[in-house]
Amino acid sequence: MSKPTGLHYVLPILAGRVTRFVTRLRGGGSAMPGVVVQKLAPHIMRDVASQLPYGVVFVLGSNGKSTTTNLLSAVMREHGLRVFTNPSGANMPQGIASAILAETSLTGRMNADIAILEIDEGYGAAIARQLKPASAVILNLLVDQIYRFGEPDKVAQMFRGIAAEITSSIVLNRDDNFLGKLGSELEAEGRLNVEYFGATAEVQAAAPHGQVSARDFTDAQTVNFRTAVAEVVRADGYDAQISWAGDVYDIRMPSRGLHYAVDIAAAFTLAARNLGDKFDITRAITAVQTTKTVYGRGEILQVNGVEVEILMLKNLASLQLNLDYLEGTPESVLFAYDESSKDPSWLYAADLSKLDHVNVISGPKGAFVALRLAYEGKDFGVIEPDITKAVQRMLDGPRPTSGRHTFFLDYDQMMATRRYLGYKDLEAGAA
Amino acid sequence: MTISVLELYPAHLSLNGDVGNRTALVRRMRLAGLDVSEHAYHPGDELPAAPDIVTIGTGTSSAQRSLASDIARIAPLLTEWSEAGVVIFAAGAGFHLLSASVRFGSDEVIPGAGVFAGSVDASRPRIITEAFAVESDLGLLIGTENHTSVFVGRPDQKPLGRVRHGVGNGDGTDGAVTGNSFGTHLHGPALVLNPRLADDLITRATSRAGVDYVPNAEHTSLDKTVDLARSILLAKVPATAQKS
Repeated sequence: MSKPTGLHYVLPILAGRVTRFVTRLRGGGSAMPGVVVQKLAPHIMRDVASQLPYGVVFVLGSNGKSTTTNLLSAVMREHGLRVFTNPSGANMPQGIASAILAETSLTGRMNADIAILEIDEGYGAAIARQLKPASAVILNLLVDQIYRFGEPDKVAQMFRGIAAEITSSIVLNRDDNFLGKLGSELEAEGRLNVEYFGATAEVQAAAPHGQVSARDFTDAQTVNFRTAVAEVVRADGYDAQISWAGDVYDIRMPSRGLHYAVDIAAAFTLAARNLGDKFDITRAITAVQTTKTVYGRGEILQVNGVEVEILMLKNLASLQLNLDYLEGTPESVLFAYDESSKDPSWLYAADLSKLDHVNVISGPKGAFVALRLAYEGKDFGVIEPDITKAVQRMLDGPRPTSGRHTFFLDYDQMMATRRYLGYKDLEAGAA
Repeated sequence: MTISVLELYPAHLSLNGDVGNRTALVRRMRLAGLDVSEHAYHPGDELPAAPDIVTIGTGTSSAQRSLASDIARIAPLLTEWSEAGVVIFAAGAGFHLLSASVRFGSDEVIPGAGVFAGSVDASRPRIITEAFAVESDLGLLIGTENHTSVFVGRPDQKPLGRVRHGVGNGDGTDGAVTGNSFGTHLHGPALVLNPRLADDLITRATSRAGVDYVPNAEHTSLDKTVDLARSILLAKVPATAQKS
């Protein structure tokens, strides 16, 4: 049994640092250092995590992981905690290991009070066995990555497996089909403290396509009315109202939409669970209102006096909700689709009535987007597979009278676009 | 004369944007100047009048199980339509539910509607082929397959085609054809990528209805974009498969 700290970690961590230095010189990825250190010191992750006074928190769900991790971290920091978090998107085992080790001293200590980690559902159970998280939030279960998971029911199984590794409490989306059922199971089991966040039935009914949750067809049993710790009672553009402990609070959100408001409710519920009496709702609201959006998730870039809004295009739910909460018909639109989205079939399930045209289509699979628009009889402008050329074409085109271009981008295309537009801060974050 | 298109169980069988099949058929007919009406059938609905074209798409195993009793209820109607020559296009789970039976486990089998002669074992390891390619009488069909099944059809029933890349039924063929009913593992919006198949289905339906379907320049223009999307998948069919 290894001790929590000690000199025996000096060599493995040094080896990891050397690996990081070498992979960076070669322009390589951030996963390799984690691989090296874990080979040399298999229990290092558990030992580092176990020293954190507030433990490890997992943020899970099909969509909204990065946003909620960012919001929750901001709320915790506003309460004076030192937060360690993984760079957005680095949510698989080696990426997390690398991120943790980059922040760990040579003797295996981390200068933080809490680790808030967004976790990929496919690897969640394995990571949980290593890190023993005290608490977790599951945001939603959407039709997502069918190419990888086969069907949403498989993802429900994965969440079940992760929940089994959580040691203290779990926070769930009350209004999600699959998660409501998982909540019933966990309540019956009685091992974990189970709490919920949600949105009122009125707010959900008013959303053009609701939360676009996946449907659970296994049995039709209705879940009894449950109280949500934090409940969205209004979501209108950037403005939300959240009901908390009997009062309703106004919140000006960093980005638009019901999905963003629900992520805030999730962050409040989990923050309060972890902070107990120290949780202060006004501090939490201040944190949310002053936080910046995660890159590429409703982020607005300033480029030569024109705004470029980047909306992520990950699956049906992310596209639909981002369309639903646009302010009017976007005037100048770039739409890019790349190889990381293996199967674009879901595009046909999207309601594109919010768009009346697209100016430029890009990415290696852009033709699938063009085809979707062609079947709808909508003009898709030009197809420029190279994303940087496509972005430049948008910037060289007429200046939109609204002063804003709207870009729907896949993850890889988003990264390339930000880099091209001179936003190079991402590289600094990842170890 | 209005051509009616009926989508079965769109709330249950829509895992892969399957409504795209309806979109493709309806769009092509409207571009040719035909009157088209679109309908949906959900479990427990009043039994619909015979349409000209039926589509049914892909879904999870839990969705399929939940439809078992309703499939049994409408089975006589569906087989009657099929025998009468109503055009049916069934993809993935929809194809399976219109076969004789679907097996989900060693002791769990649900009866299908019996439009296609053959049975499905849907308890196999998952198969995912991004560029699933099938040689058919209507040229090379391309799309994606994602299922856990083997289909064993009656030997005298024609498959849709021979698999060039992927798995399909599991014996080198894919799908089944009986009269004007077509089943396939080309999932989701197969018809948006395969306009020759879409046009064949439309022609069968419109001839039965006594209407002419004549594609025009709008179709040619649309199909240029189809070719761009098709070429992305065709490039992923391995060269060894290309030769055969």
